[in-house]
Amino acid sequence: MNANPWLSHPAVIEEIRLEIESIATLTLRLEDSELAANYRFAPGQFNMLYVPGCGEVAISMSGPATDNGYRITHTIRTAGRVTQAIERLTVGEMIGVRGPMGTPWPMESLHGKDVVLVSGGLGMAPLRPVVYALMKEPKKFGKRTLLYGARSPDLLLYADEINSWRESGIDVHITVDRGTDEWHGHVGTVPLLIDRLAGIDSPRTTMLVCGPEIMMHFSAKSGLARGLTRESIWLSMERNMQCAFGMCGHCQWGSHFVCRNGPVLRYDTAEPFLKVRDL
Amino acid sequence: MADEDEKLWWIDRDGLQQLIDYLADQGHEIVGPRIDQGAIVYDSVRHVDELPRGWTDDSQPGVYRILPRPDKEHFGFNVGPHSWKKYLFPPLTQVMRSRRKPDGWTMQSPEFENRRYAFLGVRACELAAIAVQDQVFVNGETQDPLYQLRRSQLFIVAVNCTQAAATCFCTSMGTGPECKKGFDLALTEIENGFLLAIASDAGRKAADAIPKRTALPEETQSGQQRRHRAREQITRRLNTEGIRDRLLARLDHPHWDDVASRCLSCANCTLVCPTCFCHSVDEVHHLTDDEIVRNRRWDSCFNVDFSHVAGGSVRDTTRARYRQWLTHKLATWIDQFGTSGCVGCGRCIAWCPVGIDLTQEVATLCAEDGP
Amino acid sequence: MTETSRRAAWYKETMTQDPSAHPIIEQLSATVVGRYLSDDGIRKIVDASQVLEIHPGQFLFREGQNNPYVYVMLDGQIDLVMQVRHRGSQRILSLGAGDLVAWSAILGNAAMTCSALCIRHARLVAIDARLVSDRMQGDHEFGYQFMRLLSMALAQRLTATRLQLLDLFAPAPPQST
Repeated sequence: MNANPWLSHPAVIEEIRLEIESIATLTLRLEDSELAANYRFAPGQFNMLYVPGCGEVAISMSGPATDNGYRITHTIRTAGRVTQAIERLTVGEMIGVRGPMGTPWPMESLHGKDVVLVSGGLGMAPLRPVVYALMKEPKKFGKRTLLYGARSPDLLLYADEINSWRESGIDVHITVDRGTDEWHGHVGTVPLLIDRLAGIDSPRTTMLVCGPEIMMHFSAKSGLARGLTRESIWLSMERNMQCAFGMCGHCQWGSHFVCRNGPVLRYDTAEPFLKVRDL
Repeated sequence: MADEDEKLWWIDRDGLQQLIDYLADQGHEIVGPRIDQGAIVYDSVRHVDELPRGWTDDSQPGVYRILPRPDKEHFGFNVGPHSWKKYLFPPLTQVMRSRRKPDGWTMQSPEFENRRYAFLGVRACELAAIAVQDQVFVNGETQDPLYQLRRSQLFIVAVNCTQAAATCFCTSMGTGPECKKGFDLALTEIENGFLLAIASDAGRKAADAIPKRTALPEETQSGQQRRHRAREQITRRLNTEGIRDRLLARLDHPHWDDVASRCLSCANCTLVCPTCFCHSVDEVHHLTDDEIVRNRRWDSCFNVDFSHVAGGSVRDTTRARYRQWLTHKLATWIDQFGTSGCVGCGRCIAWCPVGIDLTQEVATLCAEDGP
Repeated sequence: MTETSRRAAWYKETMTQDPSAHPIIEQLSATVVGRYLSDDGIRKIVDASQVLEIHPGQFLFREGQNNPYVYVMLDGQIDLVMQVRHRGSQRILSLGAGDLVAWSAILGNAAMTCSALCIRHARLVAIDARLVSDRMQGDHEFGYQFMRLLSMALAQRLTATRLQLLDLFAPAPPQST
């Protein structure tokens, strides 16, 4: 009989790092050492995190893809029932892990290309593994750029890491929806950063976008206006997920099972469905 | 028919009973049509007397009832509210369990409830529906263990329809009315008994164990005429030409508002549909909080919470949910699984409380020439 | 002294005029202006413009002021700022290369609805709105092209503003258990 795709695996919470607002980054260690040693993921994938008695929630990995199952990193915002239950857990307690699931960012196709990462709010979390990859092997890529939007300057996720990203040669542009008196950076919505980005060599450029759906929609449009093609823009979509292996039907979006064909989807396959808001 | 060259046999009522007995001896739980609460449903069958002999059904949009027949046919009806999916893909089943221990949890698979079924009386559209669900649960990247178990032990006795209901449109979907593949044995009821076709090794073994003789030419001909009658009686049509592109080009068509004004979002259609597979998982606490079980249960895209994400449901209107159901069933299903999700059984038409007919809705949606 | 001539004098005093104005035809053609105006149209604009440089901390114009120029930004960063009682200065939006600023000069009564504060050293093409309006009266084809340019800039600005309004990065309200 085949493996049970519903089976979750116990993992210990090793570390909880409070980020901003109601966001925290958890580091997990799979309890079974063989599973831990063999667990690998690709940037953009997610795990189903399980709180017995409460339920499961799909959370992207936000750490480097070089990590194995001794150190799985998730950045989680408290929103619904399950994330509220996760917020109440402490270091040393256990959580169930099922994964990795989903189609990852197209890392291979970024080699030799200029890479533009476009993130907004919590959308930075599924892109951070890509940032780490860009830092680890810079020679594999062309120009590396990160366009990053937040609500206000004090609500920048991973703010203390941004300098190290810049130091590794990634051109980081930050924008906020609402400025403050001390803020001398850009004020305005993320797609504007794409509109104004200097020196885009569009045939050589691939854009990875992650954030609220509307932001991704307009970012893609701005990318196309700058000469990128529909095949060189990638999004990460979100929908209700339960099985996470393309069988329960919850995450359907047009022809896609977001858990399986996505969450990372190439823009040309996403565009027809993005146009219809309540699809 | 299984194969034009394949030999046709003839058995009588007693032979059918012996077939049931043989299957029971082989450890099968035989399930088939029975009358319950004014409908022909699927339930345990151990004796031919339990079949709806002398009954037929009347299916119209929003209407279903059973009526006595002038003859004594055992299978003189089409389909009722049940489909065979409830056996391979049970409405409620355990998928995982967790037990608390001092430093956390152990997590295990459940004992999968394996059953060795024999389906008696599967129509051509239903054979197609089983094949459609095979694509979902077994033939993809991931397999559902319970479905796979039960499916591998399944024995199917198909039945060729000898009449059609007003709601049938299997001919439009290319799924019937003749049974062509996906079964072990196939029956066609004629005046004096049943024609029998063998389509598998397991079927041959079963046929060897029961009294039968070669069908006479006039019996074979009678069978052909009756199957042809079923085809002739089909009046409902669904135009499937280019349907995938047509529907996906009309996601903002004003007609969705019209359907939404009638649709109750009651989920009946998804319950009776033999191919619908959407489900959800729930946590169940056993006795104390120390043992938690995860149950999988049928769900429906018509339920308002089905598409819930942080901030609310993506499909928060009946319009959005009806559109999801119809475009999934007839269009995006093709992208996902290579075939249509609809087999033309017509159940959704009969069991919709307001009689929404998807063949009509599609015709209206795709009416004017467009992209 | 009229408001307009006072403005012009102020420009001469506070801004540095870029002597190498000829390349602005090429520079303008490379911006959004080039997408909507013919070569002749661009020349008409250049005839009515001068290139300005502005330094961090300087205001291009202030809220409420009559400003008779429409600007096309060539580079740098200028933020739109509004005064809100009890809250002080609010930075609304950053503008950069290719953006049109102060279209009220042509469309409205030229009273600026916000201030424009230079954040990073910027160069702009300052188009005399009165001169351009006169040209548009005489040449309707040019007028049509220029108004299309303004309409597009308005539409883009509206979309960007709407996205800001939506407060997309705000957390969804926590659901009750």
